[in-house]
Parts: sequence; structure tokens; C-alpha cells
Amino acid sequence: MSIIQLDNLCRNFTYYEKQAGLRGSFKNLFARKMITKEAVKNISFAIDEGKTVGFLGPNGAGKTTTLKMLSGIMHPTSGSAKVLGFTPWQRKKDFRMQIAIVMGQRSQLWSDLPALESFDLNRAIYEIDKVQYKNTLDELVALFGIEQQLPVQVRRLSLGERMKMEIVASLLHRPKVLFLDEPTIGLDIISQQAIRDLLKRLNSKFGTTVMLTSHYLSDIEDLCERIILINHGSVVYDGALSGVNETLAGRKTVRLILSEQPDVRRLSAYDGFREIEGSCARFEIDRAGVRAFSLRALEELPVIDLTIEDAPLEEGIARLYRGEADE
Amino acid sequence: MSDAAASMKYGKCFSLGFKAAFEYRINFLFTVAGAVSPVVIQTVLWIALYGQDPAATLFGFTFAQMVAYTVIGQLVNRLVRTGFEYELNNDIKSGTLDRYLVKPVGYFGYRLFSFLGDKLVQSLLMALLLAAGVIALVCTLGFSITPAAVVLFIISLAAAFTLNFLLFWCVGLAGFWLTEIGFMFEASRIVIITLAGGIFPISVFGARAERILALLPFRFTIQFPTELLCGRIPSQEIAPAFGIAAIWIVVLTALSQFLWRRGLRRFAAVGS
Repeated sequence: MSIIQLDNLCRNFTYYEKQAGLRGSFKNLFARKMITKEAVKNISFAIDEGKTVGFLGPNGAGKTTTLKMLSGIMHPTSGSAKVLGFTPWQRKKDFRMQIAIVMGQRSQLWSDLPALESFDLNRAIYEIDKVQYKNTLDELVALFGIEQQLPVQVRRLSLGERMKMEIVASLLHRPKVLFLDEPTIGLDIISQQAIRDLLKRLNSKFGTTVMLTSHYLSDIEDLCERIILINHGSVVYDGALSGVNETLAGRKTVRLILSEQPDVRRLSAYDGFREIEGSCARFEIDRAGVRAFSLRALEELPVIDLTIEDAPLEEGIARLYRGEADE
Repeated sequence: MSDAAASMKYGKCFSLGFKAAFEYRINFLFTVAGAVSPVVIQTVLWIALYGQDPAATLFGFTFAQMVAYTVIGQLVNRLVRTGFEYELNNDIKSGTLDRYLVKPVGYFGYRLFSFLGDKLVQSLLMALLLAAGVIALVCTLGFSITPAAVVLFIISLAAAFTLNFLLFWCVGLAGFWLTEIGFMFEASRIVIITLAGGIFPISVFGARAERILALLPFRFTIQFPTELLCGRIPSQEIAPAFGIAAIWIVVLTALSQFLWRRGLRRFAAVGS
């Protein structure tokens, strides 16, 4: 059953053009030019209960705008959406009791107080039964390994520790739907890994439906079977992560180890040349052209070793961002 | 929402505000200094204006009454003073209002109660200063107060706080339409305090201005409680004055709700 459903959701922003310089500012006083930007254009998709879905797109693609509409913070310009059977932007209390949104760049915790105080406030706000609260908190504290940090003022925590607290705070009422906007932004690799592990265990334990945006593809690879990719406000890909490269007609990465460092110009003559690092050259080649390319490379270059593998996910995503997908 | 759940929510907001206030202990010292210095400056000024004549009256006040007004008025000003408007403005401007909108909690109640909690310790300190000030006035200037005046004063103080909170709430909500309103808070604070009789009694502005100001909400935030405690308000005028204050509370509550709904629609439309 779909727990999140979007139908032709649109969101426009209008603002005034601001010209640079004193003259521009003066001109703006009298005549301002209105600009309309379509941040989200006719987005439709559905998400089933208990799934973790990655929501991807370059900066400014409309990810946060969509999440804001789905969590009820923002009204759409047109179109409809249902989350848990509610229209989010009506902000019914029953709706707000069952969702949570975590924004990596915005804290919901009181920075002057230990996180435990903010948790307790959430307990009152979400009207959580004392026994249930204690059980959930114990469970999350054990899962996240944050017992030591509970009595510490939030502003003295590291970014990674704080993010764990933010996630705990938003899970105390056991939301059915969790929106995560860049939960790993600015974190080091270890903390990113820790947050990812937690989210994975969370999903298996609580069965929470999660919609996650991130620029770190390893987050997505680890957590999501399905990704929805948007660009310029429209969905450009919706499907299994493993299918990203297939829609790109199966690009392959060919690596050559060369016995001597060749001239970059010589390598650039080959289509699909990407980079050279020491004696290892990397190419991205269409599947159909791999054979011809390999024969030519073996013939012309001092090749010691040759490997052929699927192109990395980043390559496929980047191509989708650029709109090069073969539809 | 059940009453128990609601009082639980806002009780927690209150207690968090209270606890957070303890993080800034040095703040209390500055608060005291901030309350004492204008009293000293104004008293020196009044000493100069009244001269040596003990029987002189200015704007309907004897010297003793004026000093009592200055001391009590300043402390009332501090007791009803707001400070949440910067957070309100920041929530609107930076978009952190989001985090309250997605929760099953009313933003107004949240800010009100966490602000009350935050203010509690400071207010107790001010109340102590006020008591000390009154005792000093009784001892040095022959100032006298009645128990009835104290009771009326406390009730009027609650009304004063409510009115002042609503006034600054409305000013703060202007942040939905104006991007930079930090300067507006200080400007409007000075105007409101002046019109409220927080710097000198509003009789200074003349009888006509006094009659107009009597109908506006401002004087109920400082002058009215202060004069009640000083026993300067004739008993037949007390009930009507409370009536006007009550009307203003209703009007400003309606206005703040209207601005909030309009502002929220704009916030949801513009985004951040």
C-alpha cells in the first residue's frame, strides 16, 4: 500500500530580479521585474510502507521543496499529495503526530541544554506514554551508542554526535514516515558510516518509511533499493539503484595499466578518456564499443593490464543530472 | 487535545526555558545593573528639577511621589519586558519556524511558555528589588502602601505582561513581510515604553495627550500598575481602567491571530 503519493505536484517561486550595482538598486526602486521559477514541475510517484527511498538531485533540483510540501511546511502551487492518507499542508494534528523531518542543516534541539531535555520536551509534545517513551529511548540510546553524551549540552557535541541526537529526537514518537534531508552533510566518513548503519537498523526494527536526500552516493547505495532522481524540478529516473547504469545503455569502465607514462594528448585522442593517475588510465566506454576500443588500445598503447567493469554509479548519476539519459 | 496533554506540553516549554536561563548567570547581574542605572539618572534629574522646595509639584507629582514613580515604574518596565521577539524574527527569517510547524504544538504557546520560563528567575530577582525599593521608599520618603493596592498591583501586572507580550508579538510578526526588522524592535520598544509612562509619567505630555493615552493599550503596561501601587488612582477609576485593558487584550489577541494566519500563508508560499 502506498503511504506517500504525489500527483502532478508543482511549486513555483516568484521573486524580483535584482540588478547589480548602485544603478541597478536605484532602478529597482521604480520598476522591478518579476521572475517565476518552477522549483517543482509535475512530480508524481508513490512510496510503499516500510521502504527507504533515496531522493536525489543536484543542488536546486527541488528536493527540499518537495520534502517541505510532503511534511506540510509548504503549500504546492498545484497538484496533490497524500501522506498517510492526509493532505500534508492542512497540517492536521493526527498527521503531525505521525511524521518527522530531520534537516541536516537545522537543529530542533535546545543548544544550551543537554539533548535529554529536548527529548523530554518532545515526549510532552507528542503526548508519548511514559513507559513507551522510556522503552523507545533506551532502545535508541543503545542502538546509537550515545549514553555518554546524553547529559552534555548540545552545543558542546560534535556534529556527528549532534546529528545522532537529532535523529533520536525525531524518532521518539515512532513516526510512520521520516523525511531526512541531508542527514550526513558535513560529517566525516566514520560518522557518515555510523548514521547509515543506524538508519539501516532502524528500518528493519521500526519499519519506518524513510525518504532520504543526500549528496553522498554511499548513503544511497547502502540504504535505498529505490531511488527517485529529480533535476530541474522533474523526475528523471525512478527505479532500482542497480538500474541506473542500464538506462544509460550500460557504460563500462576500462582501466589500462601502462608500462610507461604516456602523453595525455595521445590518450585524449581516444573517445571516453577520463583521467590518468600514475600509469593507470581510465576510460568510460559504451558497452557496444568495448571490444573495438580494447583491440585498438592493446594495439597502440604499451598495455600491461586491462580491466573492464561497470561504470561507477557516480558516472551514471552525473549523466542523469546532465540529462544525457537515453530514454 | 486534552487539557492534561496541553498543560504538559507547555509546562515542559516553561521548564526548559527556565533551565536554559541558568546557563547565563552573568546575565542576571547585567539585568540588575540595567534596572538600577536609569533610576539613578532620572532621580538626579528630578532632584535638579524640583530644586530645594519640598512642597513643589511637577506634573501632579510631589518630589517623593516622583521618585517613587521612577523606582517602581522602572522595575515594572523590567518585569513586563519582552525579549522573545528576536527569536520569533529569527525563526521566520532563517526558516527555523519549520521545525515547530511539523510538530503537534502551537508556536504561540511554545514561545510564550518558554519565554515565561526563561524570565522566571530574572523576574523573581526584579520582584525582590521592587520589594527592597518599596521598603526603602517607605523608610526614607514616607511612602505608604495598602494591602489592597498590592493585590490590585499584582493583578494589573499580569494584565501588563499579557498586553506587552501581545504588542511585541504583533511587532515580531512583521518579520513575515519585512526582511530586516531588528532595528524596529528597539525603536518600537522606546516608543512603547515612553507612551507607557516608563521613562516619566505621561502627565508630562499634557492633559490632552494623557486623555488619549488613557484609551490606548500602552499605559496599562507600566503607568497603570505603578500608579495603582502608589495609590494614585481614584478607586472609581480602577474598574473602568481594567475594563479598557481587558478590551485591548481581546483586540490584540485577535490581531495577533490574524497576522499569524496571514503571515504563515506567506511563509508557506515564499519558503526559505
